Amino acid sequence: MNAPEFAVYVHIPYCISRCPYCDFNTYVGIEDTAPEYVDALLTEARTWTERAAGRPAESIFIGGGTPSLLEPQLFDRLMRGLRETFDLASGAEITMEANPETVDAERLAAYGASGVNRVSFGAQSFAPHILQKLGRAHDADRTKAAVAAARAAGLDNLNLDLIYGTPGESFDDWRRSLDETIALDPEHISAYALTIEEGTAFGAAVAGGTMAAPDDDDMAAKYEYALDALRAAGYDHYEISNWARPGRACRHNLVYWTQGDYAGLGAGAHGHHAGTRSWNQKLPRTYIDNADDPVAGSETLSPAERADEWLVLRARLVGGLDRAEAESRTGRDLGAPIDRLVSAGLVTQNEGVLVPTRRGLLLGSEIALALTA
Amino acid sequence: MTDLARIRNFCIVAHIDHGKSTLADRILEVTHAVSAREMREQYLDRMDLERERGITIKAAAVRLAYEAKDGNTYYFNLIDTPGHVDFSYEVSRALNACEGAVLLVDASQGIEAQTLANLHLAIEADLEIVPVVNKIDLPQAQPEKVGIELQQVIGCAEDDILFVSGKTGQGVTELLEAIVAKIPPPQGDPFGPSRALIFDSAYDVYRGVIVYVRDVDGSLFKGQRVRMMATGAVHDIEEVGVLAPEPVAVESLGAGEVGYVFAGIKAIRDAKVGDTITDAQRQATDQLPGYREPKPMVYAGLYPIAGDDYPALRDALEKLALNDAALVYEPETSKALGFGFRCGFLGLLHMDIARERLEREFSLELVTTAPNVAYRVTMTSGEVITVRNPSEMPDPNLIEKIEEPMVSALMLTPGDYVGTLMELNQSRRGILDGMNYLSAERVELRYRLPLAEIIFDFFDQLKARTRGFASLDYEHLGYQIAELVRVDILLHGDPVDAFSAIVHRDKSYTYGRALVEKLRSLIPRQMFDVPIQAAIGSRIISRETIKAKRKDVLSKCYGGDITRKRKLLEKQKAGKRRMKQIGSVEVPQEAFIAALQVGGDEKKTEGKKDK
Repeated sequence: MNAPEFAVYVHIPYCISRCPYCDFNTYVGIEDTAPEYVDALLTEARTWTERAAGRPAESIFIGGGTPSLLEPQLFDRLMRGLRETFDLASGAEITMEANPETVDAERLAAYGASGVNRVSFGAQSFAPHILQKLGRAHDADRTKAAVAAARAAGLDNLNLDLIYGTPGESFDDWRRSLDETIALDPEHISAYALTIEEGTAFGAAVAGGTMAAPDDDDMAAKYEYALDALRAAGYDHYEISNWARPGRACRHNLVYWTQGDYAGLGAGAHGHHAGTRSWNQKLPRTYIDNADDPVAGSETLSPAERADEWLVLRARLVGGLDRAEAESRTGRDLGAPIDRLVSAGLVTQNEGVLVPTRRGLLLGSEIALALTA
Repeated sequence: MTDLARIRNFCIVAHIDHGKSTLADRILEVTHAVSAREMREQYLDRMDLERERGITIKAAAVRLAYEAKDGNTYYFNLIDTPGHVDFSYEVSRALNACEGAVLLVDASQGIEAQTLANLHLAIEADLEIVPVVNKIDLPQAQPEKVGIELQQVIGCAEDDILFVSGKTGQGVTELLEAIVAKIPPPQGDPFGPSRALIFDSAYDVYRGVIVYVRDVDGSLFKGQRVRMMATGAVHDIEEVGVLAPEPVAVESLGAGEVGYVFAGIKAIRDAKVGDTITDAQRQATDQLPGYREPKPMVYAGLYPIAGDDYPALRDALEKLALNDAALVYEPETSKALGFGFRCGFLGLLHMDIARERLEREFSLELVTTAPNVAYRVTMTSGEVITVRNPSEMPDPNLIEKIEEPMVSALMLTPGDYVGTLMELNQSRRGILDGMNYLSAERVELRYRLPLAEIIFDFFDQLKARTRGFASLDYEHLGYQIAELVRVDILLHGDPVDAFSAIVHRDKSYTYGRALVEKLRSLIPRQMFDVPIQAAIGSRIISRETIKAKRKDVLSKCYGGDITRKRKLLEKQKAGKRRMKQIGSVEVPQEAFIAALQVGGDEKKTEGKKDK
């Protein structure tokens, strides 16, 4: 798969409320810092021009948090500033994340006018009790309305995010969520198993025994259902948790999974350049105050670690891992681990291309561990 | 040579936390052994900690000069005693080096099991007992009440009991006067053939073994060629000295004196506690009484997680044995665990210490099998064998009888918990040997129990059931016949020798069920279904299945968490490395001691409240 060489991620840390499962770097009630924050983003962007090294940005991804909380004028200022700083490739993918309850056609059209050509909606579920459990502010109708609004605004590249395995979600709840999603006909669908993270309300509830941990067998069954239903609906499965209409795979995320370079702008954002992964100050205030040098930490991997990382990331792509490419890239003989994976039924090997089996998709960590042993 | 009449050799015996170290601090001060400037809390306890570099000196015996009210200077040797039941033989040797014992009891806690056990040992060693109630400065102190308890257990008069505060120093001078007046001076022949009792020893990397001795007859001096009477080893003395409390070399140690000896001894097993040192030329005819080979009571298999660490484990055990005379080990092979060692320990604490040192000091990752006792098996052929590893228990058809080691356990508990303790003891096949109401708050229970029943979680259970109030001590009683069977565990169809255990027939089903259930919860799901079965002979008594894992994948991985996800995988990889591969099944270390947690009581333990 042909991935872009360079991309830009922009983090918008504002949310209306804190979802109990979310461990992203987000804050409630500080939206009034947005103008300063946008200035800070543009200041930081300028620190990246040298590292971009003349490579055009083939993707900009504005994630959060809730980027759709940014007023369209402010958003436009951000986009104009990014265009001035980075050389934007023609036809670049420009994605923003949006929560269904924050947008209407007018607002989406305004974002579109600023250059956004792809919108990712946090739909999560279509079952009311699950949306409630997940702490979401929207309902299923709102998601449908948001998709309709986006279409009306002329946006032809939409993603819906879904979460399965929330305790209390029945298999039917999940099936209906998927069916409703497919019925909305988005170009792209991401479906994630609920992961309990430390430092979240769910994390505390599971640790404290007041909430059941998600059940692996239940999630496996739901994942397998998604594999079948989405294939039947004409979606290509291209990464463990991602499906797209032909040609609509998210170009931005492909940068991550091919170990490409990207600028990471904003509070807590991570960037990657020439083998160094760096991350910014997490607190928006601290970030704003240090926008010209916001890096809080970094790590430079050894060649061996870098090779491991490439394998782990690259193995997430289900289209197939070319053994010759992997061996030349890592300088290793992967014969023994590949044999083990094949005999364990986790991958098939066809003319030097490894493709995860259904079982292999569900046991992706086993593949990652075997390849990097 | 010090005049025998001016020497007093004694120890302080107490239950843990009854204030022994603090009282010792005050005694050091009153006798000016340590200047005010150098004084710090728990001085003697800290001596060896602060000597990580330089020679290993533990305050096994401290020599103090005390100017008594009669105008004479007396030389006190304060001899330290180990505090744990695992080391009761060492305690008895240390007591044999004394003529008297200060029996210290906390005024707020009263008499505890260890107090009684130590008192019995002291009486057996024929020591003069000086009863002392300590911590009388505490607001919750009840000195009169504790005094009455002491009178009852010792049978002494009210006036014999001293009341002190190790913290404030109140009563300490009176105590020192009582030591002079009541504890008899040592007896011995200063001019006879040398005889000195080894009551402790320690290994030092620079100078070899330091041997702590109580000279009984004759003297020990630098350059003297000496012979260990039990082992027959001959050594030349390089240095003799006393701890005052810092080590000071002296010309010689005479009859009645206590000190240390360096004699170029390379391993601690060549200077065994309880042995007698005599002059190689002018040998004594009789050894001092009471010597015993250190005898392991608890056995466990130690195996490296990684098979190629076996030579490293062997080297580490060799080094460890240099300063642990009680540690015994011999190579053994387990079908499940590969090459390892069967090690014998004095008790569970001793085992924990040894395992921790092997892991920490030698960076080894080890699997320890559940500890077991040694069984005496009489075969139908009449042959008698000792079985130290459950998997070596012969076929039942060939066995005439099996005998197991017994202990006499002494428990002290407030009256309210007598019922629950009796229940605990009965569930552990205990037979009541006696009950004695010292007071309403202090009931003495004596039980005869199989050692195997108390080496697991008995102590934790005792503490949990009595909210930490009960205390325990025990002594070994020899062997007794029992109805025992071997329960085997099959993992994925194959017997795993390391999981075999010897249990009482009446408990075998419950045990098998509980262990299988426990293993199911401890062994992570694998790539395939793994049945776990418990069996007695060829009869399966319990079965569970660990279902194959279906999902193990990081669902999300984006630009912002590549670093974190990489670390998660590294952690998972490290976790796998700590597992032991048994056939095709990955088994975590904890699983091998799972038996420890199914000791027959379903009640959850609250963990140790104190030691």
